[in-house]
Amino acid sequence: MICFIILLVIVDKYGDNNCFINVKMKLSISIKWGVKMTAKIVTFGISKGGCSKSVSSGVTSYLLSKEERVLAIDMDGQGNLTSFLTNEYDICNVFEEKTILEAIQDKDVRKYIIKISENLDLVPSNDFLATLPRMMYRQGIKFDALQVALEPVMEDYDWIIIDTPPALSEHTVMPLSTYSKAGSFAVVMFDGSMFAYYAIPKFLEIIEASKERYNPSLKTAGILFSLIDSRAKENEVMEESIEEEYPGLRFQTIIKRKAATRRLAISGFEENPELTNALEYYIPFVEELKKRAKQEQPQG
Amino acid sequence: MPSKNSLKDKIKKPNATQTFFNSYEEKLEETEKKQNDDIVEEFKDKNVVIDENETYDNDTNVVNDVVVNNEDEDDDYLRMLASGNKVKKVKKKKVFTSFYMDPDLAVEVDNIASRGEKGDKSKLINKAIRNLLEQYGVIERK
Repeated sequence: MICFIILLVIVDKYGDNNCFINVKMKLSISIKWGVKMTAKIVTFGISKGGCSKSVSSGVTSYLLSKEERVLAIDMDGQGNLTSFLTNEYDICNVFEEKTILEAIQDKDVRKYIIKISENLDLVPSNDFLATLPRMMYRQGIKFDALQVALEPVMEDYDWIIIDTPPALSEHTVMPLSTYSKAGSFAVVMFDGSMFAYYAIPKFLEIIEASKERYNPSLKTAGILFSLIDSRAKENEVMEESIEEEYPGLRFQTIIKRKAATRRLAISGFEENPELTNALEYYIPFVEELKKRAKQEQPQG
Repeated sequence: MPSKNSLKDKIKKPNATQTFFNSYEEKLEETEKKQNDDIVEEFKDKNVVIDENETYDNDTNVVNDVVVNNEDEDDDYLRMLASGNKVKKVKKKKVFTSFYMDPDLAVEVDNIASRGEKGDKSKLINKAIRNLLEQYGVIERK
């Protein structure tokens, strides 16, 4: 406690320095609520393919890592998030036995973390993740397995961002069942199509079931529109319907898909001349996500 | 026009999400039952009778008994629950063992246990032996 007081005096003395203000804020929050800073978990999902889950989780991880420490986890055996962040497409060979599957089996994720940039790490996946359900069955692994594997690094990150496959499966339920005392959130992706419209209540049901049975702290952060065609005339009707059926759940930001964002998978983030253009819609979304996660953070 | 019963069946019919989650609960129960059955069989082979209500713990290779937590543990558990933390009620591990009893004692112990709950028989035996060993000075008084 004495150390804290001394530190706060130092912080006060240099109070005009932004870095110290930040330290002071974090310390005062920690003291006030008596909790250590742990990672907030955000899972991107929807039981329909092609709704920008991987791109959105990848870009969100990148943007959050500008100021905070982020661990991205690929729970989809297609490995799109892995390829998106590493620019490596031969995932079966390059990441052989170095994936989230082995991390779950070893009950410790640390050996499988890859450094992407200063504040951004990744646990990759590849096609072998398809064997997860069988492994769970054979070895009696339960839905808290990811939580167990993440336990040693929970305080090393501010955010854990998880990409999931478009299915009701172990790969989707396990991340949703992963508890963090800083909060666990689900972002429901929506591409504006009828298929996705009907997938929303199904995914909300998976969230509810995971919450009820495994992770009482799980919250739906919101529904994120990632429109395939921003000029389609049914978009407005879809927006109204979602607002009516799930009031207040929709993120105000709408991602309008563009070629520059798609090309991030080719050009990457570093020294990309069209980066600002590619991230245009994601920047306000991430701000919104931060606000929602902060609002819903358990107080103590 | 569907009948009232068919409508009821339709409403009752679990959807895919419920079926998925239920399958895990059933699977877990099946696995635990199978493990228990295996251990019961194993002990039966050795002419040892065990209480089938006891459960087998895969991590420790011991048969666990159901333990009623004492008041302090319950208090901690409820406090964690009330503060919104995810809590797991930890069961105390018990080691399975077997021994021969005098017939009159065995009958008496069975009679007492039949009036109680699951695990009471083990509790009684533990308490009796603990008291005796404390009295002999073999173990420290709790």
